[in-house]
Amino acid sequence: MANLGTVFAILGAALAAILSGLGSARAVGLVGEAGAGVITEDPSKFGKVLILQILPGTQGLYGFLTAFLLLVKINVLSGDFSDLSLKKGLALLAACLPIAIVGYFSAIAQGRAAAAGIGVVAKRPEQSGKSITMAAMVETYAVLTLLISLLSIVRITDIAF
Amino acid sequence: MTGTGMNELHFAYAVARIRCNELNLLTSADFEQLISAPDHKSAVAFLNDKGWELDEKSDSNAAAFHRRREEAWELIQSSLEDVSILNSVIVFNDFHNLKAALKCKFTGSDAQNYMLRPSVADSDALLEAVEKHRFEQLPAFLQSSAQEAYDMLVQTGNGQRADCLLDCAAMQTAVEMAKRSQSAMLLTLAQTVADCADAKTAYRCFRTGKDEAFLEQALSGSGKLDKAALCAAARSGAEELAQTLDAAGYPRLAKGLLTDSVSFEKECDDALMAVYIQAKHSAFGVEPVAAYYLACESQVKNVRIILSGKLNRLPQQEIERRVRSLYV
Repeated sequence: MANLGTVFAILGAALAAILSGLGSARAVGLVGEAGAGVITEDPSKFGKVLILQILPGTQGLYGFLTAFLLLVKINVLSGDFSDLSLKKGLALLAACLPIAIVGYFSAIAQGRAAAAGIGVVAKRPEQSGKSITMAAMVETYAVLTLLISLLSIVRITDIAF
Repeated sequence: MTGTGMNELHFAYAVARIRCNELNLLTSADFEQLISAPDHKSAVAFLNDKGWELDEKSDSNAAAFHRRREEAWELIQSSLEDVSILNSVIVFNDFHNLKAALKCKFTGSDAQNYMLRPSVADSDALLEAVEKHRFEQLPAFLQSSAQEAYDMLVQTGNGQRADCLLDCAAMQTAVEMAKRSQSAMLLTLAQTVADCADAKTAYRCFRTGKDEAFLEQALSGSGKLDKAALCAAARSGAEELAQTLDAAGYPRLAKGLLTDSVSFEKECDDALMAVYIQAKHSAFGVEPVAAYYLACESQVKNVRIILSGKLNRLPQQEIERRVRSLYV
């Protein structure tokens, strides 16, 4: 029971990395498949397709960043971590949930928007900037939850409870 | 395979390829230019500039048109892992092939020239099965219809009744296949095809004064139209027929029917276009793929109408009246 706080904190880091990464992987795959369809017909559009494919990959990075910060803050990476209280461990788990959950769903939503944008690249490549902007709008919510998760982790690890 | 889940990921590649190839379809501006071409030769030259490879000396250019359809299907085949999801769209060609094979068996002519592709069943295998009277070698959806049509031809020699039997079976099979595809658009499309076919049959039966027994056999009733109501209307008159179509949600078909047969035929094709044009802006799913194939077919039909009009020196307005709605 003494180490349960640490277990919950690491579980939070794992969820942030796994769910965000999973969402990004599925979304990047979806856009990649659509992009391959365009490249098959017109390889000159690779540059525009690549930008759209990269967009939903950021949630995976946000999850990685959150998990990395948490592991650094509780000294897991350095190896000299002290046991966390159960309350603190649960608080850190809760801090990871915004980016874990919103990261997963926003990545898939962004992937759908970007894959739809691939259709714009296919038919009206001169309008591809608009499709990139529309797909990028989804990013807002991933960024907001990333901020919440990061600020929470920083504050919780600094508070003694 | 429809809906909003990640299952539609399977079609992202195909839809993207289709979107690229839609750029090669003739636009409304192209059709306007084609219609306003001074003669058949100029119209053919315009199409050849667009890569159609037509023979200006040929009246039909059937082979070139057939090649356009096959190219569209080959693109779809190379884009989808499993094309059987689109069986409901092409199964009509199987029943056409079966009709041709059965009739040629009785007349002793070569059916190979009448085979349509793409089809669900291999046309060579179908020809062989019919030739050897081995209907059990046919796909399950063709077996009983083939036997019934064959028996009817042997017993009565009535080719028209055999045609009706196979046409009805084609509609029923298409609706069943569309249900299995789990695509709402493909199901609506198959039902609309059946409704339009029934409406056309009812109209022709009314014009030729066919009796109720014939109507019962000729109407498939596989769509949304009520077969009994359509039968009764076809026996009563054009007004009643139009009212039945209007009440069933086909007001434009009703209006076309009351105008003339040219308008009616055009409205039937436009009713199908109204269904599959919904897929024009879909980013996922099998619907845009099916819509592309149907758009290619519609494009070929429009080109044939225009070239035929030019060949017969129809006035420009008459050709415009016949041209179907466009997908792009």
